[in-house]
Parts: sequence; C-alpha cells; structure tokens
Amino acid sequence: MPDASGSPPIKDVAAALQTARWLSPIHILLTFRAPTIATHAVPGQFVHLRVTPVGTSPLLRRPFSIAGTNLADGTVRLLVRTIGRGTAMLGELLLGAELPALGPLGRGFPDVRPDREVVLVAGGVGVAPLLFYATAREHARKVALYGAETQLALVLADELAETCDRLLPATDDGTLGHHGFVTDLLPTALDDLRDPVVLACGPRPMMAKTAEVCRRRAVECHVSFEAWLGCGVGACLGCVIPAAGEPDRYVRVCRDGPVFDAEEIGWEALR
Amino acid sequence: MSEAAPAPLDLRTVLGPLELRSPVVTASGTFGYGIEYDGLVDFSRLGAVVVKGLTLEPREGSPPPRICETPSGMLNSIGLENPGVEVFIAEKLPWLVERDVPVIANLNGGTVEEYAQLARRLGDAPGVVAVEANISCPNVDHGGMEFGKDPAQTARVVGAVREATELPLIVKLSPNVTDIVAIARAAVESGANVLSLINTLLGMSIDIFSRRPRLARGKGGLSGPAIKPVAIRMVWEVRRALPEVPLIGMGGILTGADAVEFMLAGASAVAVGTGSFVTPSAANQVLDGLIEYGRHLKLRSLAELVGGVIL
Repeated sequence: MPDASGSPPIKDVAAALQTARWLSPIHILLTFRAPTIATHAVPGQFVHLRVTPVGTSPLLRRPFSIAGTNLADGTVRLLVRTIGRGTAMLGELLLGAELPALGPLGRGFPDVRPDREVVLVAGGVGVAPLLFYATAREHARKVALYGAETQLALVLADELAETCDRLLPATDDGTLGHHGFVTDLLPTALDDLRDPVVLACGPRPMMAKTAEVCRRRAVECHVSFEAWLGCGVGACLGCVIPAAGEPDRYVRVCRDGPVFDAEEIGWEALR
Repeated sequence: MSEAAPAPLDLRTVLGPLELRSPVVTASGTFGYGIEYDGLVDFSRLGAVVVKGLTLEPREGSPPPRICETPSGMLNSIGLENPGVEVFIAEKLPWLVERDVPVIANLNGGTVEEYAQLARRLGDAPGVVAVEANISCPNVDHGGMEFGKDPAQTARVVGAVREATELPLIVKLSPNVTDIVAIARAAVESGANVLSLINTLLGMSIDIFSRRPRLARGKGGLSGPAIKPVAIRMVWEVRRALPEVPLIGMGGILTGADAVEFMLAGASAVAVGTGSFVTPSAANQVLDGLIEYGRHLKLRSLAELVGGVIL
C-alpha cells in the first residue's frame, strides 16, 4: 500500500510495550504502540523487532507476524513463543520498554472476495497472521482448523473461534479435538464448502501437506512462511526458499513473501 | 557567523583518485541495490552505495539455509546470488543514478578474464564511480577467495582489471590469509588505488540436535561485531606497511565509535555491512557519530583521524 510519494510506508520506529499477557508457560502476547505500523499493516505482514535496544547479542532482529492491530490506540499485537534467547528476552521486558520495530514488512495475504468461503489452517504460533486475517476480513464463511502439540498450546483459540464460523482444533496428544495432525481435518472441511480458498501458516510440513491436499483438489491455497531473516527488506538474500519451476531458483521470504501462492513454492526441494 | 560557531567539519573523503562526499559507504552484499532501503536511509549522506556482488551471468546462489546467528555476529553463505551485470545495468542501476547516489560496483569472476570483462562493461555504465574487485568471496566454488589467498593470483586479477578500466580500482581483501600485507602489496603493485578490508572470516556452526551444519553449504562467512578486532588489526597492519594507500575499513561497524576506531587504525573511509541489518539507517548513524566525535575534538576534517592511533 504505497503512500502519496509512491514509496512503501515501511518505518523503523521505537515501539513501546503496552501490555504483556502470558497465554501459556511459553506463549506471550505482546502489544506494542507503533501507529504507523498499525495503520498500514495488512494481514500476513510482519514486524522485524530488535529484542534489545542496545548491545550486540543477540545481534539480528526477530521477525513476528502481526496478530492484530488496534487503530484506535495505534497498537500492534505480536504472539511470541519463548523458545530461544531472543524470544526469552521479550518475555522479560518491562511495560513501557521501547524496542526498534521495522514494519510493516513483506507481502500479506491476497485480497479474496468477501463472497468466497475460506479455510484457515493454523499450526502453533502460525495462528498469529490468521487471527489478524479472520478479524480484519469478511467472508461468506470462515472455517478455522487449528493444531498444536497439546490443548495448552492452542493459544488464542477462543478469539479465533469468535471471528470464524467454525473452529476445529487438533492436538498431537489428543487433549483437545482431533487426535493427530491438523491437516487430517482439511479434506472433510473442504468437502463442505463451495469453491473455497485455503490460507495456511504453521510448520513447513503442515504447509506442504496443506498445499498437497489443495493441489489435488485444484483449490486455491496461500501459505505464510517463517525463516531466519537478516535484513527483512530483501537486500541480504539470506531467507530464501526454493521456488517452483526451474531447480535452484529461490524466492525471498521477507520481500517476495512471507505469503506465497502455494504454486510458487518448490515443495520437493524445501528442507 | 559568531566567533563561537564551530568551523564546519569537512566530510569529503579522498581515496586516491576517488573523492567521496562522506566517509561512510555501504558494504557489498548487505545493502542490495539500494532500493531495498528506500525510505529507511538518507542516501544523500552516503559516500557511495557498494552494490551486491555482480557476475557476468545471473547466479542463483547457494541452497538455504544461507544465514545463521552467532555470538555478536552471523554466518552467511549467499553464494553471490545476483541477476548478472546486464540486468544490473538495465534495471537496478538507474534507480541509484536518478537519486544521485555514487555507485561502486563489486566485481566477481570465476576467471581473470571474467573480472576484466565485468570491469570493461561497468566502466561505461553511468553513475559507477569506481569498481571493487572482490577477490575474497568465501562462498563460491570457483574464483572468489581463491584469487585473494595468493599474491601472484591477486596480481593477475588486479592487473587485468586495471587494464580493463580507467575507473578508480578498489580491491577487497580476504582476512582468511596468513599475511594480508603480502596480498595488499601485490594488489597495489598491480594497480589497485584503494583497498577494502576485511571481507568475512570463514566460519562454521553446527546444530547439536540435528548434528548438521547450520548452513546448507557447511561453511560460511562470519560478519558483525564479533570480527571487529580482527578487522582493526588487519587495517592497522596494512596501513603500517603501506601508509600511502587509502583504505576502506569494515567489519562489525555499528556506531560512530566503531568507525573512529577504524580510522585511527588507518582507514580513510568505512563501510557498514551487517550493521544495516541491525538498524537500516546504521550508515547514517555511524556518520552522525563520526561528526559528533570530530566536532568534540574541533577537527576541520575527519581525515585528521586517519592512522592516528598512538603507539
């Protein structure tokens, strides 16, 4: 969404932490005040966040999909799974802390006509951009399939249920919903819908399976990728994944994505 | 102007035949072709944009994963992905030229003749103020660092590029050598006007759970603050041996203080690389810090700092 000058409204701003809510022992929902990012962000876009305002370790920023925006107070919501040193530092921030936040970055989910039916396939913290999508976009029907290791890890499932017509959970351990992969639920969900569009975000095997099911049924499918990023703006070429078509051709997760049409991805070469 | 007003600090930077408007440039491979940072950096305050390494033909680069984080640094093995020199000239260069940004083209060949061809082609391109022969890329199977590890090979490449263009010639040196002064001397004797140092240090990182290297190619180039002391030492060694040769110092520069350190070691200009990933406007902030330091010391020109380490 270019501004009047034609350049993209990407800004590196000091984002102040407004709220922090633990959703599980390792999931935290952070709200940062960053009005320019909140104003311009579309579902599927991300923020490249420094986890410490000073110092050189960790050195690189961490990318987070935007889980929602509040235009009234200029805030963005980020869902963090505290699995490493950088994300652990985010869990220890004091309210009011200001972190450099670059965004909104990347290509978000495409515009899908409101009269179409959509299936959202979420795996783990991949729920973040899909929750933003479900909150921001109207559709004839929105069906969410949401999987995680265990019931406790199905964070924000209540909000996803509120914004969708139907939510079908899946857990690896069977503590809630389907006992197995979330993608096991996809064929049946698609059977019930007319010319649906599938939007997916989660672990790569989950997205590969989703893309495979959709391809077999000629269903339109868009997937949102996660990767280690250097710059976040398409300069360093560090975050590439294999593209469809010719072998050894790559696309940048940060700038060409993170949302791709599943047909753009070289799934066989993905590791 | 009142008596108390500080004398303006002269930022012009003379590197032999190459004059830059500011001593801070971007390091090749970390700043794309400039357009990626549109709106995030004030291009008018950059001495030049050193663009992503170019080859004659398009290159797809290394398989992923291509980067990983390490203590105060990162490893990369991008493998010189680039669209090739013709696409660069037709589609990438005009954006920088329209904005009056001086461009330094980074050249990479698999053979001596490829370096020369690239230099000839870019010598005619508008907006290109200098070429930087990269004889230090650690992430390709042919050429690259192999040339930069040996004085005789260095002389062959540099001599051929010198023949091929009248533009100021910068040669980018590898730190992955026993004696960087010997390579520096060979480059200068073969026609280099300016030396860039250092490229990345060869490194490796292993995931202890999968037992696999964290980069698909195994090895990669280490950059960031972790390598700064190595870079400072090498700049100082080359400066001491070849005091007349202008140097562009780089390796872990995030702040003005880092840049001052490089200048004191002997660099006339500095390049910001990985720093641009940490902060997109890092090159501007480095210049701010340099200006602040210069004003504090009431310098007329930042050139007064160069080689000023007290031993």
